[in-house]
Amino acid sequence: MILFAQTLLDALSLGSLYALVALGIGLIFGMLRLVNFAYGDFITVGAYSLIIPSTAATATMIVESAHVGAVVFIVCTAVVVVALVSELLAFRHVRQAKPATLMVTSFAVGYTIQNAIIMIYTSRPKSLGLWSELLTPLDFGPLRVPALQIVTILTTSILLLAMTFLVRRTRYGVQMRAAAADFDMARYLGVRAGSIIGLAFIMSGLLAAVVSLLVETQIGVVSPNMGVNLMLFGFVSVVIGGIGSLSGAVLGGLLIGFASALLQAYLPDGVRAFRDAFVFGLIILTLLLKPAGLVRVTATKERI
Amino acid sequence: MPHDVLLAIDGLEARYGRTIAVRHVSFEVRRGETVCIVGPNGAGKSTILKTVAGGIRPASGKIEFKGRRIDGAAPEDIARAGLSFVPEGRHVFAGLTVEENLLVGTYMKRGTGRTPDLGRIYQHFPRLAERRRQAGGKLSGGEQQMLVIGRALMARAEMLLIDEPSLGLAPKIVDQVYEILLKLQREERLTLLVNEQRLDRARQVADRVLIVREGAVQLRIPRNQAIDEGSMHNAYFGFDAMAMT
Amino acid sequence: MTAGVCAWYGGWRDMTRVAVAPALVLACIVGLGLVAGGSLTETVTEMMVRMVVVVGLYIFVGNSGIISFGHISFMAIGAYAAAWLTCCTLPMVKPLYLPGLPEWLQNTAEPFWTGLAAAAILSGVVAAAIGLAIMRLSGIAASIATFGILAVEFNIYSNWDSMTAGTSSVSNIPISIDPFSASLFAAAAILIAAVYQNSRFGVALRAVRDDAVASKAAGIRVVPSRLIAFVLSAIIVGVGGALQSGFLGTLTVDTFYFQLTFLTLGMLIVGGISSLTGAIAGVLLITGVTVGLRALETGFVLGTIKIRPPSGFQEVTLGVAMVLFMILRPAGATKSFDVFRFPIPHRKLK
Repeated sequence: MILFAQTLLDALSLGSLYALVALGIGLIFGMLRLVNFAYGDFITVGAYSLIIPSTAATATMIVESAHVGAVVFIVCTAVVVVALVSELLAFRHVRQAKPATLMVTSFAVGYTIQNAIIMIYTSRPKSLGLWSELLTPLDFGPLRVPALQIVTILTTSILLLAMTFLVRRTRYGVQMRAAAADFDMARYLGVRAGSIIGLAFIMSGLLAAVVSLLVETQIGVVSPNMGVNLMLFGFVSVVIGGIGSLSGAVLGGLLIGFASALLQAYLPDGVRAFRDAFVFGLIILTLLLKPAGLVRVTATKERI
Repeated sequence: MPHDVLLAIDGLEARYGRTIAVRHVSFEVRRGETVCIVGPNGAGKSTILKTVAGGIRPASGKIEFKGRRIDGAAPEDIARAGLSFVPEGRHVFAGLTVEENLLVGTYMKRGTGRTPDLGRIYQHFPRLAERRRQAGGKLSGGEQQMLVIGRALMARAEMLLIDEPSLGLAPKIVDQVYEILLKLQREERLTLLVNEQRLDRARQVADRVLIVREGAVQLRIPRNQAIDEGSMHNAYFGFDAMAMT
Repeated sequence: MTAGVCAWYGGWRDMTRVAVAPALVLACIVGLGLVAGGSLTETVTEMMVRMVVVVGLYIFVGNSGIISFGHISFMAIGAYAAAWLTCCTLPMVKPLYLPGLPEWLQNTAEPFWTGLAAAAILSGVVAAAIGLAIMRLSGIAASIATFGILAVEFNIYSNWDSMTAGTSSVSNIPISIDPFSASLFAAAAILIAAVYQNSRFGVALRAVRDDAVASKAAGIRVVPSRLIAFVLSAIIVGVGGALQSGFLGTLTVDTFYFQLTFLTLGMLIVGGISSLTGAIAGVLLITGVTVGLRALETGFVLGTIKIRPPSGFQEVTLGVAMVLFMILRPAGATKSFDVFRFPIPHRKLK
């Protein structure tokens, strides 16, 4: 019973993380039909932005981890800058291209970022103890819950509420949703393509930055491809949730988090390492049963 | 240019890939006028409107709106200048409510120009007011057409470019749409450039009709000017259909 | 029979015209394999192995229009399958590297061809199984699924210590591949790709690529068309993996991940994604560029300063080049031009 409750919290925490990634990916995809294969590298950039380049196995931070504000500021700025620069130099110029071109472009951007990180920091994973105090478990009666999980769940909830407000109730949200529904028509009504895309990338970048902080605190190690698995699960969350639906993306993320955590807890020892493969199997199954995703979207544009 | 000319097109040429869709089209639209472009499918009517609205970059030629060059400008800038485009097929934002649809075009700050507010639009289109919280995608064809016209108006348009408003609508609904368009034109001092399939309807509503075929203006017919069927058929079909019967 | 074939192609003259350019290309490739020697031996062999992989990739990506990020996983599957059979040059070492192997494999070191067969079969079977599941997906969903294939394969193989040595390497694999034999395999792969793309299966798949709805209306079945290409391409890529293990003599799981995926996809795209000639051209082009960049990485002299770019420089340059290509010439160097297109045989009207 206790194991189940703990697993549930693991699931919620992991699901929150995946939901954030899915949202970051879904924002860009909804508006530009661009699958951002560089998103995992945005997350990686966030983590690396905190450390000084060196060949050491233990990373030295630019600021003390106690300066929470500074840490958050640095990470957010770094990721948002990288996101906007990618848009300016790469994505903007292929906006009207075929989906295949878009995908390869984002893959190339991600590849470039990843190897730029390797160039600067070497490919060796480094240990980075960011906010390790959060890993200490708190006692809630019979449950032992790492503080980080609570932080993750709370942060995600706040971000989701903020995003929902932004998207549903502000003028920017209306314009973004219009652009996502029919980009050209939105332009014919005066919506500035450049600004609205920039806004989407900023929001996407901020989400990646938050994920970066949470993940880095959790695993305590930075490596050049730390963002890859997260990004992959983000993609499938978006696809499972139903393309074009932000709430679907969040739902997809939560579901995959749950599946992953449950498998982690209940798979027998020998196969637990292959948990990701199992999650993937479940995803393929879901896609076969419901190829359009779980959340119905009234879309007039061509769906997958 | 004379101060009441709102839109001036001179020697416009536009392509789709390597095909020339619009060849050397020139005409003017004065403030308060209704001009209809009529022609068979594939004549280039939509291309003309799309190019004026900024969706297609012209291969050559000049387009001036209120005295300023707009050829090659971005669609959002042209919209902000007061020229609104209602493309073929309505393009309602399906996931947004009626009210949100109307509001999309209102977020540009502009010093000049009238400000039709929501109330005024709902007065013109009471059916939209009834459905203000419904998703745009759930409206009927005719209601959607009203919605996109209202939406273009909300964007503070001085001139509307409308591509085939009658497409896919029952004749009675089309009558209603045109009724409202003309009413709006009177009350809001709108200028209209409309692509219309049917010559008879165009002659009813327009101050001037331009017959376009194969990308070029074949005939210009001012209101109330008698024109013989032969030349009209010639312009529309490329041969005198009447002479063959 | 030759008379019959000639009648199909309208005579010797037409046949020669259609066959000359492809024959020339194949001859050049094999010729390159023959003459390569000295310091270029490894580079050329590696290039030929990559050509096999990229041509295999082309069979699926070029004809179906679906970008696959997962084909390198078949290369890994093929490479390790070959290793399981052919390892090791020192027989006692095998149980140490690969304790998980079944009894009957532990003490054998099969010849290269057996390993090759195993690679082809295993890749084909896995591709068939996965393909049945994902070939009904289109466009973006399919590409994401292939990305998933790579991630899953990597996950499984990195953790499957008993069969792949996990994060360390399997070495002492007998080396049986040199530039010439590799070039023969490359030529064979190209020939197979050419025959496929001109067969009714290839033509059908390209029809689906161009217009799925119209193809279905014409009676073409989408999933089987894609599946055939997917399995065939996986087999060829798997063979490429076997070649890799027979060339390097050592295997590590993380070789078969993003770096190689990007490189092979990049070669295909730079050359021209819808053309077999493009695939070949891309391999030659990118190999030339990487050789040049590799030389730069050892340091070069600018005036009086010796500049030594940090490691990763090669990859960053490649990445930037790819982005530029996508912006400026997304159709690739050859666009759709392809010498390996044969006209569909027909009877000449009298």
